[in-house]
Amino acid sequence: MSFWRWLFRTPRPARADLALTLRLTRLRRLNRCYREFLGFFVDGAEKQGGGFILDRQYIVSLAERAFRLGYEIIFHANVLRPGVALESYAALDRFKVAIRDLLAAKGRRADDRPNIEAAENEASLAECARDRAGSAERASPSAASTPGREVSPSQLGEACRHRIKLIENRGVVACPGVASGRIALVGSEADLHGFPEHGVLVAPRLLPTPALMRTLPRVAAMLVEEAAPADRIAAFARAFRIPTLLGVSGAARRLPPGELVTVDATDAVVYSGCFEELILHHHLHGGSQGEEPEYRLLNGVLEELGSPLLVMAPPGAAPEDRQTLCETVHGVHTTTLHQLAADLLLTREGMALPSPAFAEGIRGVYLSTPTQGVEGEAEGVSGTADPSAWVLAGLVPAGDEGKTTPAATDARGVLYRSEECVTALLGAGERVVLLDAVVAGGAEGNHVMVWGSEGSQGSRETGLDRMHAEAVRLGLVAVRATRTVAAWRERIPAGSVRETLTRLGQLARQTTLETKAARWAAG
Amino acid sequence: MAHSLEVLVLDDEPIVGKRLKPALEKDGYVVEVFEDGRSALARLQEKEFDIVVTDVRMDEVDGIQVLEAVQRMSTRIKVIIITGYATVELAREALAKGAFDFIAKPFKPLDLRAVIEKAARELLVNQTHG
Repeated sequence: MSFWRWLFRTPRPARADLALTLRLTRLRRLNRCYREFLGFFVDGAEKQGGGFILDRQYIVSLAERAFRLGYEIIFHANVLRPGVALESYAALDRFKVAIRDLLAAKGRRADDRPNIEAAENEASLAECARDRAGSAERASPSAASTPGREVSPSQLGEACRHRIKLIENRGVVACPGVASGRIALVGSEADLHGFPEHGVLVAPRLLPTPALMRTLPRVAAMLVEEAAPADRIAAFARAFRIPTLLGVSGAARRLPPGELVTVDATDAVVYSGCFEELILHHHLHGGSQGEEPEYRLLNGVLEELGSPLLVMAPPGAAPEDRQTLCETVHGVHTTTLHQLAADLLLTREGMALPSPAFAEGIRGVYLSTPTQGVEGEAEGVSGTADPSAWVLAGLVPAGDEGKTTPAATDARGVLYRSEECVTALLGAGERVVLLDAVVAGGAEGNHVMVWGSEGSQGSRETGLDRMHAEAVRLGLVAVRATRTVAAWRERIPAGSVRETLTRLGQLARQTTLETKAARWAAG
Repeated sequence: MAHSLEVLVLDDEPIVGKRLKPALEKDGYVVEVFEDGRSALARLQEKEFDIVVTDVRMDEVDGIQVLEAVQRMSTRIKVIIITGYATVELAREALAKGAFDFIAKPFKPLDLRAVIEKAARELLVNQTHG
């Protein structure tokens, strides 16, 4: 059912609801722009990997698109909440001048590397990268020791065709290049200790920890199963110039530890054995891939624009305290959503919500469609069941049923109807962690429960998918929400939706209470 | 493949030739790279290539002019257009003038290799039937 059909099907809305409807239309536009804005960074991160042939025109259009979206987001925000982000126009103008200078090759940082130092120890990273440069020379002794030796294209083509390929066309390039070494599986941080010199690191996932940084100088190439170009591990790979492929599904299963392989990250192929001709060819012709002027300019522009992964400014920061376009736009989006959510939620379903709590930010939201039940789990006189009731049942402390309205007091849950709204709230970032649940799928959208928490604490306490919670915290979920939602719905076994949701309600209540207790303890 | 196909790459952005040459050599093609249209056209007069990959927007000689020149020399040569300013009009013009395919930047070398492979297969078929 479309939003409009739903609107006319439900009892005649009050005047406030009509106003709400108009606002939601604009909110949808705002959110669409923000999703596109986040998508643009994902696109930029993918290109940064060095696997593309791009020109200056692409970089110029990338920056233009980012600013166009930025201005559009501010415009929509100001329509939704007049005056909420007027000062941000000036901030964007300021960033635009800086980017224009950079594109005109006047910017002093055009030749810099990506600013991953902002989050890491600068000196240690630089030292590690120097070590790595030295070890890279040692890693290909045959190539280094045979200056001037050339492989003809026909020889190379023939060799590429006949060599055994263990992995082909899997994953995305995080850093191009060719390197050979023995497979070393890294399943946990403990595996990093004693990592072999010039080993090929294969891991289901990798976190950018200090232990990994210390290990990277010894790594010849990396294959990571669960990672995306926007992840920090990609920036690390580029900083250390390690040929790296991300999203290589099944790498740990297919590649036995200790086997000698050659990773061609440029073409996303892993060959069996040491492929000397390819290493030599790469050494002679492809050594500086990803370091061309176009890539240096792209890195400089993206650094200046900022990244959703490196939003440092707190939610309430003033526009002048936001250092990048990304921080400014993120701040405008977050502030607008928080304020808007407070307005919207207070007028919803006649639920008396404590406005001071919402003024602080979103604490708890779940989406439901009371008019639609869950197929196969019907109950009651009408033959359908309201999934929100099950969540509410979990939110009410045992023995308190009927005494209190949980949404209004303890758990502060709120009914919400539109998937766009929930996605928007997820995009708000810092205060929202997604619980592993989808209530049900209606024709007009999925039913999702989200729960406000600070950082990723909530996900740890409730045993949920930490990586995804982290993505939500970083505001990236807006890009991935649709796919994620569809995947989760499939994971709730038929016939156990009620039980799952009630349990979620309990978990949500517990999380809130624990957060409160922690705050109280912190004084 | 009986003999290595010869590919001429023309783009005023150095990154294109620098990336495409090693990538295409992995497939066994012999590649010559040029950054200005005049030198490329001069080379085309001297030697018949099998495939020409050219950018559109360049100083002095643009890619469409190169396409027209190649078509006058030999209709056997496959011309692949690459551009950062991809529009439907431009693509239509290039294809109407005999371009084999049209690729918008940014692209992965693998994308172009697939198109070149297709062109190579067509050349082989033409050679067999011609």
